[in-house]
Amino acid sequence: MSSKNKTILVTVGTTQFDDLVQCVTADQALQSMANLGYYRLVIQYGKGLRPSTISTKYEIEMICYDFKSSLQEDILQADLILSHAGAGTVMECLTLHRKLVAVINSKLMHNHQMELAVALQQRGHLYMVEQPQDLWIPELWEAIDQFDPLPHPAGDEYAFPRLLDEFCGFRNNSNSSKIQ
Amino acid sequence: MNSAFVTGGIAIVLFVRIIIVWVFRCIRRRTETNSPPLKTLVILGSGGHTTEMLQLTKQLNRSFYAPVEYCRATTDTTSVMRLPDRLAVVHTIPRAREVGQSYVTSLFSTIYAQWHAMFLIAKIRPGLILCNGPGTVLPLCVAALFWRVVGWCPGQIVFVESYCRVQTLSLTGKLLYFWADLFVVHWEELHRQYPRSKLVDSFVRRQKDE
Repeated sequence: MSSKNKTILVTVGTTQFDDLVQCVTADQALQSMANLGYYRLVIQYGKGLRPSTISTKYEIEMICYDFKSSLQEDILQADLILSHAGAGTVMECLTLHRKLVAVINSKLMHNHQMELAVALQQRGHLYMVEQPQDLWIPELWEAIDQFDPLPHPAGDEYAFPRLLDEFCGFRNNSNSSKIQ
Repeated sequence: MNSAFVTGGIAIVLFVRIIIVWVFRCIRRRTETNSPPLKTLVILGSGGHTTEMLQLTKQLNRSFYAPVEYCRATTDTTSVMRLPDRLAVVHTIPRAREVGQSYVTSLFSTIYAQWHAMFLIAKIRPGLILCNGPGTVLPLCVAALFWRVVGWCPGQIVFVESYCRVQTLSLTGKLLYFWADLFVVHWEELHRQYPRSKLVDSFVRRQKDE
């Protein structure tokens, strides 16, 4: 695990999440990343502030951009993804079978996005961090390192059409399974 | 004077309620003898809602559901570019309330949106309305219900709650739970709390032990 060739992608989606960006660029988090062999830190910071320069003593290379038309390539290249808990990003990472840490934006009140993160964590698909400041705890990084996500099964795109056909009284020609 | 007003109000509400229940039953019966194709109106809710809606409707049998027309909010310009069918008819509706709009002005914009929705549904006469939130869909659903009570079009409402909702319904979901003819959720947790809902695994396949 000490080979220095791993990449972390930090993504905040279409909005902003400056607390997350600040926490991952702080020395406390960089130290843990370096210990676990990460050497590249890619940050998509969205509408938020562009992160300032980071300390050079950990020999981590930082790459920043606000938006890209598709994150897919960066997601595939990353060994670990730290993301906001937005459904779009979460689903994209899980569909591409990446190791995902969903960081809850604790400043958002009535944050229903947490529901999705909790449910997916309970099913072993991702690792959830309740607030960005927790990323300064070295033990948390150990836990993330040891976390082995369960593969996320793809949805059944015929599930809804089947239900709708049955509701409307149309006989479907595809294999119709019982509605629950 | 005041009590007469209240009693009258209650009587009207009850009367409307009875009509609605009655109409619901009539339409239920008609549904069973529905013959395709069924004119379908898909309401695009912008952003994540649109993504989910397009995925849900991707594999619909187009010989059953035709023609499929779409409706979007006037301020949502990106949803149209993502439609699979470039030639599809896309209607627009003003938004009832923009994010951050004050309550006084949103009262007027809601009335305007409702007025617009009444004409739109009367013109389209959809057999089926597919929607998954957010609030933009409410005026259209109210309009559909009205025209159904009047007997102008069947306008059955199918509401699909967002995949993000695991434990609690969205506000639109809560409001539509009792009216929607078909109410769909994606999570067992919600399905247990709302027994009228139907559960589908369109986005994640459930494991056997769940």
